[in-house]
Amino acid sequence: MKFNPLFESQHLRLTPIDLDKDSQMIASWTYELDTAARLREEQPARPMAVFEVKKLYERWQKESDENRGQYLFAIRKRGSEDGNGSGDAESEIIGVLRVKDIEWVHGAAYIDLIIGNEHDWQEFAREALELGLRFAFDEMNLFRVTAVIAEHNQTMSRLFEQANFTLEVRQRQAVYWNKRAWDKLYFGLLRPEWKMRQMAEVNA
Amino acid sequence: MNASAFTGKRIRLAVFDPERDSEKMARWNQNSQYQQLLDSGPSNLFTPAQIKEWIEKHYDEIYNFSIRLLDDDRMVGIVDLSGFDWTAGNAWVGIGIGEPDLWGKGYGTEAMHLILRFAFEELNLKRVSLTVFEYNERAYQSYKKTGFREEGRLRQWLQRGGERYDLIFMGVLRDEWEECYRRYLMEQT
Repeated sequence: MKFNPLFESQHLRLTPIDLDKDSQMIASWTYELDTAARLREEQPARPMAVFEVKKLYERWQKESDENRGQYLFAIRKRGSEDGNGSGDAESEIIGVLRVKDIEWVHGAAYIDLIIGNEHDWQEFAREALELGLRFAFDEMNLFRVTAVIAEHNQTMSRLFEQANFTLEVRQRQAVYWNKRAWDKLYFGLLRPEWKMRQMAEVNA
Repeated sequence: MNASAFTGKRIRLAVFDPERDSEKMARWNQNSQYQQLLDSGPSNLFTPAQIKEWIEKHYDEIYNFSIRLLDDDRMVGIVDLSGFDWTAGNAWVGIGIGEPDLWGKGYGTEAMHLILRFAFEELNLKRVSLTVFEYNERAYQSYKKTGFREEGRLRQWLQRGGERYDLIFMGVLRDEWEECYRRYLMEQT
């Protein structure tokens, strides 16, 4: 058995979400209504109060604990003087990674990646997604991973396309945002495709 | 709007009564094929009491109807709307005919028209969505008859008996349904 660390990469570390400390930051991201929509799921998108964020994540953490229906991680930047990593849990949360709607029987789940600000997205989104995929395929042994992205969120579509996801479903006019209806896109990545990409990267 | 809006030529949609109707659902579940066509979870044999409790708990967010024959008022299936997105005007529909001897006779198509009429003309939805398993060809054809179009497939999404199958997404927009419904009504007369 080779023990590859699952919860850290070159610049990032996955940690538990500390709701007392992190809720305020997460709530501040919900002025971006696409983010609010993903947190509030079928409820209308609107900015969320800190206590709501706290309640929501408490519910999700409980679900995760009770039936393993989802996994939630805070994304943080690794500290510069990273001797044993103990200082990292103190560093500010920059995003949330969520593997959800897990169908254990079929080895299928959805992945959602939220990164609070544009600059962090540019710099770290790809790295965070790779952490999520490694966890989904290597640790959870999933066969496939799905990402649901509103058509207007092109930055996010581009990220998943770059990670070799395939556009599989286009639900016509299933999203309303900024004055009009947009399609809802479903991207999928299959285990063999992910393995192949890894092999290609090793060979390169 | 009155009860006739929920009444078709051979069937009607009735409010699902958890007290009265759960026992029948438990009985249908004994046919594992029915469950494998309807649901992705491992087939399970819940008691009528468990089913009743679950449906009552979600009664506000899942609009449940029973499908009943006009002839003898026998309950032969269920249909529901859930996952409402009131901003986009989208909801998800699920449907099952529990009596295998009634499969392939158009009862599901008729019930789907009734629930779509309710969804579009009363709830003011813009579109209705569903998913269907690749191996459920009969349902797929029935959905096409009520105006649903395939919108893509999550490849190899589920595993049954060691084989993997796609999860097919379908959707119908209001005007697409209207067109089909008009044609359907004409065929009925």
